Amino acid sequence: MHNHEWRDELYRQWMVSQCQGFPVEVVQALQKLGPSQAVEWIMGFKRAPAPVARAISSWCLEGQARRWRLGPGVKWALWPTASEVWIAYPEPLSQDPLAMCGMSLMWAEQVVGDPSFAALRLGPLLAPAAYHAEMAGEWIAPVLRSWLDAYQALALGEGLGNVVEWAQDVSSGVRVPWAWPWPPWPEEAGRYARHFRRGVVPHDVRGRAPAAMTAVLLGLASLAPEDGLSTLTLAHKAIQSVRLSAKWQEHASRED
Amino acid sequence: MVLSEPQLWQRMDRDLDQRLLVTPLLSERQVSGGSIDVRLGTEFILLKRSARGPIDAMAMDNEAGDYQERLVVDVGERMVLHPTQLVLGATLEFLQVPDDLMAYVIGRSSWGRLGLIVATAVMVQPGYRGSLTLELANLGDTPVYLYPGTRIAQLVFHTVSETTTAYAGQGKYTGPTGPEFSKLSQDPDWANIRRMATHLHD
Repeated sequence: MHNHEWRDELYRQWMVSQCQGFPVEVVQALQKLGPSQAVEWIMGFKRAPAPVARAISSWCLEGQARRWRLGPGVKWALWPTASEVWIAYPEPLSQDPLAMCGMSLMWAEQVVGDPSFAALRLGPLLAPAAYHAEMAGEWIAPVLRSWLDAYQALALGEGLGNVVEWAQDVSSGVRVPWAWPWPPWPEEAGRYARHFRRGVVPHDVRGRAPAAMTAVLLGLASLAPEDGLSTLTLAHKAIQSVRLSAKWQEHASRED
Repeated sequence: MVLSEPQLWQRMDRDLDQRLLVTPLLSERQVSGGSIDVRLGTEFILLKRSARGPIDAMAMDNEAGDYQERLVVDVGERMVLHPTQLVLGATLEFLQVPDDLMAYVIGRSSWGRLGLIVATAVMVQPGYRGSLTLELANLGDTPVYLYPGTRIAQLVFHTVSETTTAYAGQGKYTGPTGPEFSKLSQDPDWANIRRMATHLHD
């Protein structure tokens, strides 16, 4: 047996031991990848995704026909297998819900093939998501130009000021006349931003959870960077509250 | 004076800096009869048997990873609490207690009768902001399932006559959104106890 055959056999044995429980199609697809690439995906997906990443993926990919699997990685990556789409996010950013919204952009580009998917889902959050997720490039430049046309006047706070400045620098291309969702939320977003600054979890009347995820995230995006960083745990709690409350009310209204 | 149900609602309607906040309040029925029910949250710290030695409150750091493991259990899922096992949980709700109120946390007796003891730092101080860490122990002989989202304890609020001793910004536990491990090692008395230990035979 040559050395490289020995090495190949060790890789094969390791993959068999690590891929238990993975769908057969996924294992077959992994076997076709180069060893280092396969190891990278497997190492990431053996660990549970960060709670913020998981919550944001449920929200911003909600209603999609294709199943997805989420895991920590070194950088953003998306791999559509036959049975499900694998998404890796940059682990150091996993506590930032705005950055995690970047997966919606990646999905729009590589799965749906239509940037309007992200535009409709994220609306005013699209540029903050791209900024925090450190996503820029040819594909996104015209989308950012269109976003600027729609939302530049929003000017909610210092945090968005930085985003607008960045979007102006990196945007280019032909203006796309999308019907962006004009948010009915600025008032709520401003209120949630005040909650963040106060050091409490954003909420509605009498402690009810916020109704709209976008308004919570927009409130977070509007904070000055130093305020935003110190309130990420509050943002996570608010995101959890929005999702849980919606599910709770849905199930409470059902009769078995 | 204990706050009545109408007074609790009235406090929850106040301006943000004076607001009594319990969020997310999934059901208005949680506020009833002069108390507010709180639910079991989704984050836990499991205390494990350590092979490296006992817990030494004088020497431990805040993230003593060798004898704890963090776990997330979503609402709709469950986790098992074995006899004699201790787990740290947290209230699902985040609280803001106004400067002129304090609260007592009382575990629900219906859980206690199953062997589950819900203990905590029984008093919530004026000005506190954050979720409450709950110490959950199974004193029975039979494993018990814990279900996040269930009502686990109730808060009874009292007015305090002096409002100058607000907790926010001063306490060690301000602002958490999940369970926190003991911060006993931060107590200022340890410095003195260490010096006394060093000079025990002087």
